[in-house]
Amino acid sequence: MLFHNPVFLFLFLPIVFFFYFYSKKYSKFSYEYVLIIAGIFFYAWWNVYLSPIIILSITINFYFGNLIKDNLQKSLKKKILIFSIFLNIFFLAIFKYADFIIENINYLFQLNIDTLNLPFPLAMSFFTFQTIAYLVDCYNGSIKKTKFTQYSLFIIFFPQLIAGPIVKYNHMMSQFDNQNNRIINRQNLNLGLVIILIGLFKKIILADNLAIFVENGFSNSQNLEFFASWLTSLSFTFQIYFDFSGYVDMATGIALLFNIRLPINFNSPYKATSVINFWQRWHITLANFLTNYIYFPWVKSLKKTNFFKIMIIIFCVFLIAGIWHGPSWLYVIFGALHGFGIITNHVYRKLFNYKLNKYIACFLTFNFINLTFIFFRSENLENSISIIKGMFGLNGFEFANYFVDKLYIVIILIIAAIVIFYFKNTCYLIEKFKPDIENKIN
Amino acid sequence: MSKIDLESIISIISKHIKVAEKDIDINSKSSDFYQWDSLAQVNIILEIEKKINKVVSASKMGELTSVKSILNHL
Repeated sequence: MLFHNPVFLFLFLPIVFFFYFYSKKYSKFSYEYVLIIAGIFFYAWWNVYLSPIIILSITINFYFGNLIKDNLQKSLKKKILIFSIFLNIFFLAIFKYADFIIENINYLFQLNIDTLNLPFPLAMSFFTFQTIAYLVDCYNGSIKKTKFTQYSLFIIFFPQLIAGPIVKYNHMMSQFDNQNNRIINRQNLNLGLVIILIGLFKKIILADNLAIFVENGFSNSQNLEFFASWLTSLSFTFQIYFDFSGYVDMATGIALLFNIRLPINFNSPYKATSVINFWQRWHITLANFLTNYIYFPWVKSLKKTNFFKIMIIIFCVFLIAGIWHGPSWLYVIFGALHGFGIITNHVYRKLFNYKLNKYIACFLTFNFINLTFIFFRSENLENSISIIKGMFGLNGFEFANYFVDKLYIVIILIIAAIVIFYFKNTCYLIEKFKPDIENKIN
Repeated sequence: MSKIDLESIISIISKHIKVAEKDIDINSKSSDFYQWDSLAQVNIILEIEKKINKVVSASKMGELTSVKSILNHL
């Protein structure tokens, strides 16, 4: 069930909203049960047979978390932590990457091992990272007491279950535990509805329209000349932003209806003035996870650090970020290009203390990002190279005909560009928007 | 364990983000300076560790992103 599905918007959400706020009369903790049952139902709607996987993951990891917290011996705590992280990554690898690994082994050693063709459990990449963050926080002592229902709610809270943002236990629990959040808050309700509408606009009007053109372009990549290549690549760069940030906006808005503030995940990423800055604005919770749970511990594990070693670690972290997106070498290339971009930024900052003009820096960064997204979207490497060739004019020019045929997509791209580069973003709205419905009605 | 004061913290931050000390104060945080990125963060914490002769855990590293948080932690 997706957020823009009418069944979700007009049936599921109002029912959950009603039970969440009105069941508190009967039990102090009823809100937890309502949201957990809603989460399981929401998850099972997609595939009822795979829903036991998330329930099993919750049960096992809750047990591991308690083992880590309750154990007094530091060395044993560490062993349990390492084992539990390994187990989570192992299951993610089995479901998500097993066929990819088998195909590569077959190719490398000329073997013929059958692929497993396992279905991929929805949201597994997200809840695996969220679980790892929880286990590490248990180990560090930043999570003290947990009830099974609280931990279940943390993982299965339906607004952020499918596509993030990746949340931290303490951030969520302090809000769930606040009794004031179990009373309808008109300001959050209004703001939540506005943000859901913004998300729907981004997803349905912009992303879904661009997606038709993107699909056309990427499936005919051999025939794309200069303008078509640029329009295709720009369309996808805009589409992925509106798709993802639109969905996260809807998640943020839905959570706000329940008085829960999710962390910011996008902060006008295409206004970034460097690749480093881009990752401070794009999928912020993923970047924070990678920084806090992989990059910093890795750097700290070195006996001696230097610039070169840290750059190697950054590059490896971006390879992990790339492959996390899916089992394909193109995602690895996407991650590698971003790692290379970040390293270039760091080398530039180390050698020159000169800040580029803001608009030039933004232009260069945006074009780099646009180029890397071609690899993210393509079916294969030939597909990507063909589009890049087209963008450099190597597949010819057909200016006049193209713009007549594809005028509608140019108009949508212009609207998309205005929304991206001119309008304030959703997190600004969350901070500043103070609806005053009563006055408006009067 | 050696002590470290506000001036020393500002001096270390200034060195690693290449911003004049006068532009950094107790309310400064990483998001105020584009140069205070994850690499600068690593270098700042490693130098502070050396100065105070105390290890800052990896989990704390991500939290000490303002002058105030560093000072409070130490």
